[in-house]
Amino acid sequence: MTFALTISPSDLLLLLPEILLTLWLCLILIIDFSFPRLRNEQLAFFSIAGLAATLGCLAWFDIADITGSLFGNMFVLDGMALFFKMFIVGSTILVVLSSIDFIHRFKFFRGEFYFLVVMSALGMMFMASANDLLSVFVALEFSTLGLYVLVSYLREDMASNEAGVKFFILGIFAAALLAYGISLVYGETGKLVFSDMTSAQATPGLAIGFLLIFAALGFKIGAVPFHSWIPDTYHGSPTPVTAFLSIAPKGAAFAILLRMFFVSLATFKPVWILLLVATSILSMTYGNIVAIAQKNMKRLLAYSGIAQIGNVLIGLATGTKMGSDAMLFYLLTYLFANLGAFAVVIAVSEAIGSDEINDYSGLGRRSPFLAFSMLIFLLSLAGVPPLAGFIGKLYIFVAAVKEGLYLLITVGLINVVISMYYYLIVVKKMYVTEPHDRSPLKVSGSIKAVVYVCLAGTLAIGIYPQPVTDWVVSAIMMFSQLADPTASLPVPPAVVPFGG
Amino acid sequence: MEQAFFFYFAFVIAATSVLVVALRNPIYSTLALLVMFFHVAGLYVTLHAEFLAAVQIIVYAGAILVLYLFVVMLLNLKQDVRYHRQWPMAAAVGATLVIEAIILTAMKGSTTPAAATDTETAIGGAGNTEAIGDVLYTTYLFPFEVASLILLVAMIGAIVLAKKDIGEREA
Amino acid sequence: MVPLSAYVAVSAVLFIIGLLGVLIRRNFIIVLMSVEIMLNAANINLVAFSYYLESMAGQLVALFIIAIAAGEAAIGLAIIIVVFRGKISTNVDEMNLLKW
Repeated sequence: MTFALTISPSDLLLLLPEILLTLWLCLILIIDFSFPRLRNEQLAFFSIAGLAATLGCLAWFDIADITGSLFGNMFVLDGMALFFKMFIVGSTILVVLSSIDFIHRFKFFRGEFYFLVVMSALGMMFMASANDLLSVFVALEFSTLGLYVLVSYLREDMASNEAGVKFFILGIFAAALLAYGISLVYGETGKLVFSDMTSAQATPGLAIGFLLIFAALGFKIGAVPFHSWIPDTYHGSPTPVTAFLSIAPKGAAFAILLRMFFVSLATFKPVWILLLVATSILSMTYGNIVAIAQKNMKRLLAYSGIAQIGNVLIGLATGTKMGSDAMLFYLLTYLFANLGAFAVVIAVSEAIGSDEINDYSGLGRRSPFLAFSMLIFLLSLAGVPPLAGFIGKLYIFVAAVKEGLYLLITVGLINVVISMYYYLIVVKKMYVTEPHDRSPLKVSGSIKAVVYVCLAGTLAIGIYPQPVTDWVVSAIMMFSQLADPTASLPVPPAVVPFGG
Repeated sequence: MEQAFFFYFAFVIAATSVLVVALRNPIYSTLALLVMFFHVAGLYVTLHAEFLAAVQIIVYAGAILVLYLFVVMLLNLKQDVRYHRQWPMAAAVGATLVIEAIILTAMKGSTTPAAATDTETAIGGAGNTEAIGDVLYTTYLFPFEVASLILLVAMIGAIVLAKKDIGEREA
Repeated sequence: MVPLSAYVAVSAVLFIIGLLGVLIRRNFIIVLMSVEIMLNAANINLVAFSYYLESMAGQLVALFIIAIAAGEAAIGLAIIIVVFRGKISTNVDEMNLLKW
């Protein structure tokens, strides 16, 4: 039997960012191993250089319109995949930068920390491009395996151990649900690629299969019936890992959800809209109400994260192009506000060794810079104009109004008010309560850089959102051209040469 | 004949999986799981997935289960283990292997029924392993490459977590 | 001939037993094994569908699931060893450092 590899150099171009990052990862490992005396910062900056090169490559693809699909439509590189890849790589750069100070808490294997962070970012990039159930499963497990290790990285710390155990058990449980869901969907349709399933009949097997897959992805994004791992894992993990967990895997999982709902299940839209509306309402309400009672900053951000995911799900629940545009936009604003808030948490915990909200009292006097940044990030999370979070919420709510989802909007608006309350408790602690200790806090350069970038992002998107909205609109447009069954199937040409 | 094998495998799989979940002693659970894996491999053979049956035995029974047993014993989870009680498990494993050997030879001998030959031609004609290899390195090349990275992550992750404090790597 | 539904039934029973195991048992190692049972249920389904649909894809997915299960087992057992060094027990419900 003859056997031929079906990959041409022009196909490999589509995989260039991933290949680049894989080679860079091998370099990180080799350098870490060969030069044990190398300082952490140097390895961190080396990892950032690789990520930045990947980001540049992705940006070039985006500008030059290099898109296409590979391996019989299993790997799709469209505008949406590019958006999420840039989202993931960008957040990974910020996480690596903010972990430089934290890393002295690890006694061993400091170099491998960067390796594992970048490796799981690579897995998420694969998730953003995965267009069939097998790739989804493989890429999802790939990114999660690295995260299991990262969560329990503080080996001597009981809280980190426990976080690792809980995250691991729920993670593999979700993986088993996903595997079984995939087996049922495969049995009912005989297909694995999302765009081949469009003509599927509504059978009980298919419904259970997709529900199981949705549950598995729900674990990933931490929407409410599947959120139980979030608070403990966020609390116990090393803080940079918490920051990473809170943003990058969610983006990647949303890419898969978008492809699944909008392509494979386009014909069952009335059904899954109900499912998403319910999940969204539960997530927002539960997250915000439980967040009020929190005493620990990481836990507060965990519950607020559950609520924010509920907001993102509103966009998905509209089931329209505008809704998905708004989702991407919202995720981007969430990236800056959330990573910024976690950077401040890292800085404070480095300086005073605590994450308790009570220890934030008087932060306004001890470090005006940190307190002001935290204020901006929390207000953006709450959705106060003129910050990015406001535009994001506005965009999502407008998309929902157009679809007439008034119940969802009402619940959403009530939740905005609730969230305002607990964010302002923190603000009050920082500015009004007297500090126990007035000594000023020292903030390192790398954390400052992260905070500045996030501040710039939050303010710039809030004041002048036009370029970003254009970007998300075009990202989703290219996605629907490539993957929408009605548009241009069978498979478009493998590579659209730039300019052509 | 085929039905008899199916019912035997199905029954043992169900029974042993209940045992895995129900037994109090982790070592017994692990051994019950081992029996289950062998019988699942037998089920694959009745479905003409011989390659997968071999992989099931090599990877699950040979690698994963040994790892489990190793950890259970290393951590010494239960002190009250009495070793002489484990012979029924060993007998079950042995019996399964014998039955699988029989079924493999029986299927070779009695030039499979019509439905099965159809499937074999559809699937690749030249045998299960070759058919899988042919698809694996062409259509499914992408997940295959990603799977190689997964094993790298698993390897490094396990070392990072479990290795004792190595010499001194002051950074 | 054994009908397809018989295989699906075995797989469903196995999946449910595994699911119950994850939910009922509190020993970390047994929970891990229950997840392996669930993955095996998925594999039986996939191989059976692959045979009856006359497509190779199901067997390939099962192969990848086995590979990933191996990786998960390695990481999971490493986590157990770390936890055991920290002298917490391997019982999941005895962990309550992180109360909310």
